Amino acid sequence: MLKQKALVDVLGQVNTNGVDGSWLFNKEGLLLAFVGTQSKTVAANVSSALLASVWTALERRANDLTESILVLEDGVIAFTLIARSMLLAVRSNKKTEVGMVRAKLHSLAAYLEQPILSISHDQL
Amino acid sequence: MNAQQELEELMLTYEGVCAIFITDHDGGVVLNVGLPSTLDNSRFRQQLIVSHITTIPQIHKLNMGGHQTTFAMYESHQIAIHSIAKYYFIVHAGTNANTGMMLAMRDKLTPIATHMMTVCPPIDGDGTMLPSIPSAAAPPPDFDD
Repeated sequence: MLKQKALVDVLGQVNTNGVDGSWLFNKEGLLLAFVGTQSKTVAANVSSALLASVWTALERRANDLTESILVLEDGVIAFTLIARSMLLAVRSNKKTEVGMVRAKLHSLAAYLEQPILSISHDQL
Repeated sequence: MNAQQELEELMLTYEGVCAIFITDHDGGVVLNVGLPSTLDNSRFRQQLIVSHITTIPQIHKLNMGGHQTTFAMYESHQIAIHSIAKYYFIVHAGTNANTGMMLAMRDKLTPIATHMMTVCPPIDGDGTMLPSIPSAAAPPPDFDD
């Protein structure tokens, strides 16, 4: 069983040094957890749906997509696949180096891989 | 400056880069340099452009400013798509290419985009039409009456 409070605590650990948001959501865009600064205009569940849509579009061309980074004018969003069915995303402001965002994403993904895998559909 | 030559030199400078192509915002290919033997070039290219064009409206809805770069890492290759001026610069590389280099390539591509903008200045209304002249695409003021 995945404990919501523990999940939120883990996601929140990357929110330092310019990283201000982390999402866990499925490939359909349904949000499991979000920790960070809520955007005034775009809710976390809307962002997760949009990111899932971007992932699907990039994956349509080739099924072996492992990671994606969006560099935008006001920040960076990096997201990756964990446990074959979930997406983990990390957002940072524009001052943060992309390498730092990516490193945080990788370490969080590695930590969550096994717990998420244990509750994923394939294991039931 | 010869944009094609500059792109070829850039491609050869960076290890692992297989192809660079430039498209406009509607997906039309403007320039293409690369090694056709590395991939089924035209089909690959079209799929890549279509999938990228699909993502742009979603990215704008995130409300984090304009798109600068999309990077996608696949198990067999990696792609970086830079939005510069009115063009998309799509860089295709193998897994051995340096990811940071692909993201930083934006700075090297900017002068090429600037040159292309001088060769092909915008003629679709925003650069040449006077503000007082309405766009042909805009509905008349009494359209809803």
